[in-house]
Amino acid sequence: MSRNFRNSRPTAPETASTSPPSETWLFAQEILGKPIPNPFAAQAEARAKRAKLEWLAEISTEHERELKNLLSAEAEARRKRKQLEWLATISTEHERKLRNILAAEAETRAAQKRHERFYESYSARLAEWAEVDHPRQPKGTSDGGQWVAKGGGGGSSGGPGHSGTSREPNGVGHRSATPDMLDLAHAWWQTNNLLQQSRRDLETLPARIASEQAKLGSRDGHSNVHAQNLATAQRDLEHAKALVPQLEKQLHELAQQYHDSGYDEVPYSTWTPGETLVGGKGIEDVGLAVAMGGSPAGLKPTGIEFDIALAATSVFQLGRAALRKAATAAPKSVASEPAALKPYGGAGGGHHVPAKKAFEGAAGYNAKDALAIPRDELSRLGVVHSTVTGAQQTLYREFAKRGQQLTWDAVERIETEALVRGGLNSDVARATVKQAIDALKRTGIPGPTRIPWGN
Amino acid sequence: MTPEIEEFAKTLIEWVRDASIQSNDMVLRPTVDAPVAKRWRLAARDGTSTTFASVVIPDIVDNTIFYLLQAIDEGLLRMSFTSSNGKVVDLTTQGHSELSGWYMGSGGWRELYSKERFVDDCADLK
Repeated sequence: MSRNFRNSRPTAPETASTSPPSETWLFAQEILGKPIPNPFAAQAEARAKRAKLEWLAEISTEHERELKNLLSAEAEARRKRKQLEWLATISTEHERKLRNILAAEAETRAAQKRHERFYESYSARLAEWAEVDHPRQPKGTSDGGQWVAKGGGGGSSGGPGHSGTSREPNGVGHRSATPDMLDLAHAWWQTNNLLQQSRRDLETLPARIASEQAKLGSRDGHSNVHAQNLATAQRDLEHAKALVPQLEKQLHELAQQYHDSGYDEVPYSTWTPGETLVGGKGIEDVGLAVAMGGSPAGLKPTGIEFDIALAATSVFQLGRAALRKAATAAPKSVASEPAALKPYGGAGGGHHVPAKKAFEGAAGYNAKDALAIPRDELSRLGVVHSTVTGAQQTLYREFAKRGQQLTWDAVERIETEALVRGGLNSDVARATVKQAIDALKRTGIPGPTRIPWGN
Repeated sequence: MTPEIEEFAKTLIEWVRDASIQSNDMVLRPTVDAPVAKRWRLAARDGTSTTFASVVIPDIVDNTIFYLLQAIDEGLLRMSFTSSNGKVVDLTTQGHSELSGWYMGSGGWRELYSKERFVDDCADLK
C-alpha cells in the first residue's frame, strides 16, 4: 500500500468530523480526483447559523430558548476552563489535564491551518490545471478516474503502480515536490549524517579510548576527568556499533520509499538564508536543500528543519533520540571555525576569552586589548553570556579547591566548557578558546597569574 | 539633568536594559541550545501562560542584574557602594571584575541570599 494512504481514515466525509482532516487524507483525495473540503466554508457556515439563530431568537420564543441554552452552555464551559486554569496552578493533576487540553487545541488549530494551506495551494493548482491536457480513464472502467497518456484511452505507460502517487503517470512534465517528499528526503539526509558520524566514531574512538586509558594511569592530577572521558568514549563506541546497522537499514528503506513514491525525478530547490540556491533531483540533493534552506548560511542546524524531519514519524525506526544526535552531529565538519574574536576595547565589548582576571598583573596583558567575543557575535551564535560567566565562576572555583596552579591547559578546558554551557557548539568553542590562548601566548604572556574567583 | 547623569542614563540603558532585552530575545530563538532556552521552550510548549511566566520571570530578572554587574565589572558603569558601617567601596576595583560571576555561578549570591526561586544552570559543574 502506498504510504500516502497509511493513515486509514473513515470513509465518511471528513467534513462531518469536528477535527480537521489530515494532510495525508487531503492529499489522497486530490490524487483520487475527489473534491477537497473547503476549510473556510465550515467556519462561515457556523457563523451564519449563529447569526440566524440570534435573529430568530428576537421573534421566536423557541429559538430564544435555544439561544439561551447555547449561551448558558458557553458560559459554563468558560467557567469550567477558568476553574481548571486556576486549579492547574496549585495541582499537578489539573495541570496535566489542562496541558492535555491545550495540546489537543493546539493540534486542532495546527491541523486547521494545514487544511487551509493545502486548500489554498490546491485551489491555485486547480486554477492552472487544464483538464484537456490530462485525460483520465472513463468512469465505470477498472481504472476509472486514473490519468492516462494524452491522446490515449487507457494505454498509460505509468501503469497502475504509479497512479496512487503521481499526477502525471509518465513521470514527465512539471510535477512539484510535496511535503511528503521533503519529509522523506530530509529524514534520509539526517539519517545519513548520523550514519557518517557513527562510522567516524567507529574509526576514531578506539584510539581515543587507548589515549584516555594511558592518561588515567599517568597520575597527572586529572584522573577524574580522564575517567569521565574514557567512560564517555566507551559508551559512544558501543552506541555507534549498535547504531550503524540500524541506520544503514533505515537509510535503505527511506531511499526505497522515495523511489517507490516516484520522487526520484521530481526537482526541488530553495534559497538558503545566505541567499544561495540549493537543490536538485534525488533524495540526497533534495534532503540537503531542505536542511540548508532552514539553516543560517547552512552552517548549523536551526531545529526547525529537524522538526520537519520528525514530521515523517511513520518512516523512522530509530526514533527521535537518534535523529537529534544526527541534527547536532551533522554540521561538525563545517562548524569548527572559531567565533569572531575582537579586542575587548573595540566597539563590541562582549565576553573575554579567557577571563581577564586570570592574567591580572601578567607582563604584556591589557584587558582592553585582550580578545573577546563581541556582543553581536555572542548573539549570532546563540550564546547566553550570563550562563557562560556563571559556568566560568563555578568551574574556576572548583579548580581552586584542588590547590593546584592554574595552567594553560586548565584554562583552555574551563573556558571551553563554559562556552559550551552557554550554548556554543563544542567544536566552535574549542577552536575559539584555542585561538584566544594562542594570541595571548604570542604576546609573550607566560601563563595565568591567578585563579579567577579563586579566593 | 547634568551631563554626568545623562551619561549614566545612556550607559545604563545601553549596557544593562538594552543588552538584557537583546539577550532575552535571543533566548527565544529556537536554535539556542543553552539551558535557559531549553527551559523556556519546554515551559512554552507544556505550560499555561501563567506557568510560562513563572519560569521566565526569575530568569529575566537574573539576566538583567547580570548585565548590570557585568557593566560594573567591565568598568562601563563606575559605581561605589556605601556599606552599613559607612565604608565606601569601588565596585569595579574592589569587586575584582568578578561580581557578575558571583551572582550567576553555582553557590553564588542567589543561592546564598535569595528567598525567591531561581534556576542554577551550572549546578552539575561542581
